[in-house]
Amino acid sequence: MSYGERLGIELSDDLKDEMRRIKEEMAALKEQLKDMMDRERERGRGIHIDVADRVHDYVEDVVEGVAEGIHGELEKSIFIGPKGVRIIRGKDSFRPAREDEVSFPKAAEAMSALGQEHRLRILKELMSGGKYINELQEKLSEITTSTLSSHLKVLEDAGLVVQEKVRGRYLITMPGRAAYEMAMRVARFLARREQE
Amino acid sequence: MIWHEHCLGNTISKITAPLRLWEAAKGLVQIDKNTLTLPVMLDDRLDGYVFHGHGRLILDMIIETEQGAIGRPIEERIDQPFIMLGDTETVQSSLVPPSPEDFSALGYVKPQEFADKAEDLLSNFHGKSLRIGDCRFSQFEDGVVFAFQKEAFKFNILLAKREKIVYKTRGTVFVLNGEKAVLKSSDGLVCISNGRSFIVRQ
Repeated sequence: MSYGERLGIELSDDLKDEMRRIKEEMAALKEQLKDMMDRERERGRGIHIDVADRVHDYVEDVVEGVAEGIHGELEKSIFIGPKGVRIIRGKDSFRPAREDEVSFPKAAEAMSALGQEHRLRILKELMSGGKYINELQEKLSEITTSTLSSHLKVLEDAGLVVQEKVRGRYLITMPGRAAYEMAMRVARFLARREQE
Repeated sequence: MIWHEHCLGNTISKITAPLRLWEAAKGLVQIDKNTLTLPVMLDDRLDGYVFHGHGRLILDMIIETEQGAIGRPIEERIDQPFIMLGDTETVQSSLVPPSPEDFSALGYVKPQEFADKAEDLLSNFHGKSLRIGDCRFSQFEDGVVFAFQKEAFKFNILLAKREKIVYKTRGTVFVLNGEKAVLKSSDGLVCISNGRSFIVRQ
């Protein structure tokens, strides 16, 4: 049953045509994706997601309705599964960013946000899931709530943390997680060097 | 198929106190007191309202993946007329007749101007967005549909049924259904289903 039928609404004809075209495109896309995954499995690399698993119809109907352009995007896609990240390389696939494409001010802002012990500890706490400010305060009891808030603001401005507006929870973002992991790698490397 | 179309009722009212038309863990729609309302009827049955006043829409369009959160919250001021179809009980109990000052505060000289604006809004909504068939929005049990007009014939649509959300704007779609979610924005596409995620970056 289509989304429109389930809701008891009738889409206009041009919208129906557009939906039909998108559905066809999605079907072709799924086939292509399945083929790609089969090929990868045969090569023994393994892709740890199974997009053939359908999400709930409710979700999928809408995805189909907005999937314009996904086909073209696929060849430069990153797939993330429970066991790691796989990059599918296509004709114009990912290439390392050239230095002149990197936003140095943005990078500096992120690194500056990382450059404080309490902010690193905040990120560590958020690695295990979203937290309210009082939960973070319990973990960082040596600093005041206002100091904690200002640290969170710095992390948020740098794009490493995002706050939900309704519930107020703080979540670590993808860049935040990557930045924290990078900082920990550097710390481990330096610690090893000191031991040597 | 027998076609039904919404039409406007005659009684203009206003809201007596700030009112949350929809509220969930991920978002809310709130209108301030003195917001003007006109009932939306379907076959002589109350099916929703057109509102004009001030308010806000908050939506946490954030998906939590194992690789970190993706997306951002939005908070939009509501100051243009919009349509709500679905839950009418919450609104019904908060309505009183408006005063001339309530109209002038929103830039109307006469009440009819608000009625005309609401009529245009509903007509645009039907003309380009949705037509109502045999079934009614009210059969979307416990759900509400909001239509916020951004430009002629262009609406931001929010469908909400308890914690289930579909929000569609030009270039953005956010769908949330329990552990499953989809976010399509200018940054790319993210789907998550029971902890497994699929990401296409722009």
